[in-house]
Amino acid sequence: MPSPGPSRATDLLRWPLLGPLLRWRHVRAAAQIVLLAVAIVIVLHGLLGRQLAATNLATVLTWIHYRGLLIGALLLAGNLFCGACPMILVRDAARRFHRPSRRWPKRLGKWGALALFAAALFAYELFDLWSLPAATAWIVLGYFGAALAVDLTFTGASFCKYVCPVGQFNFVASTLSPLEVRVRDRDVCRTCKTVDCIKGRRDERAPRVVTARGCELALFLPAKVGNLDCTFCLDCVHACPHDNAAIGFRVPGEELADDRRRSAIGRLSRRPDLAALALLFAFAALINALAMTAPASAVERWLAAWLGTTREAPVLGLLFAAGLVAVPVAAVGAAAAATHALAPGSGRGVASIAVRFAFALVPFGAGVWLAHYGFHFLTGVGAILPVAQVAAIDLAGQALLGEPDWRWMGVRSGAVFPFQLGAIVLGALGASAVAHRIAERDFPSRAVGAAAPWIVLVMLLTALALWIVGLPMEMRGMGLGG
Amino acid sequence: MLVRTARRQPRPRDVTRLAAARVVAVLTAGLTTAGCVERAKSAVSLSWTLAPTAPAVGPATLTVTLRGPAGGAVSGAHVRLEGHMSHPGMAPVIAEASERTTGIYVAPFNFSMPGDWVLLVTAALPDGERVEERIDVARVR
Repeated sequence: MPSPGPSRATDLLRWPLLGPLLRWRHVRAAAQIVLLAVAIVIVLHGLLGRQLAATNLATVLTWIHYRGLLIGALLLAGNLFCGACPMILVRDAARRFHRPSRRWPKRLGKWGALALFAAALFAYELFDLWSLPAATAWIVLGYFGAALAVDLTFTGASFCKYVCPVGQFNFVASTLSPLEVRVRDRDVCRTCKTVDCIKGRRDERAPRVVTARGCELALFLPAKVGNLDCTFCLDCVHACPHDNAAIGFRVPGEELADDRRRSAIGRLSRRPDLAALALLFAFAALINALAMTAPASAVERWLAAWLGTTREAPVLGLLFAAGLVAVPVAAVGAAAAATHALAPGSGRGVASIAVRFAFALVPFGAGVWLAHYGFHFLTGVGAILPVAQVAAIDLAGQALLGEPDWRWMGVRSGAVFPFQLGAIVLGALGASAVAHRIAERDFPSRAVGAAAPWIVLVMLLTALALWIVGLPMEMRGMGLGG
Repeated sequence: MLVRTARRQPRPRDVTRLAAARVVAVLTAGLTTAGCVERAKSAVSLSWTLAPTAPAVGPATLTVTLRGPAGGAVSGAHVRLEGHMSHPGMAPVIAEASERTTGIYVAPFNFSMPGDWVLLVTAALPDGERVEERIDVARVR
């Protein structure tokens, strides 16, 4: 059943002050300019400032503030950081001089982006990127370069949809956002002849001139379901001549159990690439959190000794292969086989069941990401002040903002544990609820039996996540064995 | 006991020019890092020892020795220790060193968590010159 259009009270575009602000046609550019300025600061201090992560804005803003605010915004509102992405601002400027003509090969699906997402996580651990200001600055520059290269070659938002690892993270997490862009009144869309929300609004006197861009990710608003692939750019809001787009509230995570055909996506149950992305999102959350603990370092050193190597790459590669491929495939395969056995007669094979239920693990993954990134954000949020003071010294040569005052940091680390506990448990509850909804949808007569293996899997993963956040942290940054 | 000796340069007086030089260096050298920019060398040497030798979470002591060009002890300096985790956003450890004997400064502090640490030692000499040393301490248990 299509969700009803939001009422006046639940449509952010109808709210006083916020509504007019969001409708302002330059709202996105304004937000992008702010983040572009932040990116410039990150690059400047990362390349020119002192190469100590704790005292450099590149590492502090990128790995502490950006990641914390990103997951917070996704779970409290929507995909705001994709909406305000400064790379698209630069790309738009570049497209004034060079318009791409090629189309991205869609048959590749999300597999390429999935591989890049995994590679980004691997590189983060291998090179200890959190401890390298210059490398962080180069990554930011590299992102801009990649966005330009891809989007000056391919039409639409190819970089966002098929390449950007951060974008893929955001798309998956945004399935849990409480807000979505959707149609206000479906009857209006039924009578619409121009479909500007997808094609863009054109100047009546000069039809080749686009005055308001349509959705670059090919999400046709009347057929759009949920937030997957939506960058919250609000292009459709500005393009719709009938003022029929809304930003409405919804039940977070409900779309994970929604198998309606989605515009430019299709049905989730027929997208193994998206299911793999959901699994990567969930299991990478555990790997990323585990990597920063003392037992993980001990295992790495033990494995290095066993392999007879002092190089970290093969050791980490083995751990990633186990954590992001072998264990997920085994765990999800076992759960799917159990569902197949407990709820027979559906006519669905184990692989099909695995694809359908994989999306249930997204809330769990989001809980772990929130617990991890939330920890760093809450314990280090105040660091921006002394580090900005350091940056002033590094870049201006004078203590323009005063000498660094390191009393400003954040919440005591021990005080964050209840928050982490709550995030993980809430994620687990959400994952269990989604698993049950999927079971009700696909196995209506045996929903409990079909969902049981997945709820057990979620409980096991939750126990693992709680064990990880309870472990003593070991902040590495100097490679294998120091 | 870890023992190191290093000769470190004072902060240049005209750091604005240094920053400008860095920008030019970066732009002309294809955005290389600022580490390529040479700074004037100090005549004062800073050596240090860290105890315990195998650093662990808990109390530790950094002993800093300052010597002038002729090898004589440098007394009356203000020596400060700033300990940071290799990961950003973690609370640093700040300690002031006291001069135990002439030219030898002792800074007791606490490694607050396991992992890789970076200790920044700053010695403000009586004549206004500053000597800085970065000490990487890997794998505090």
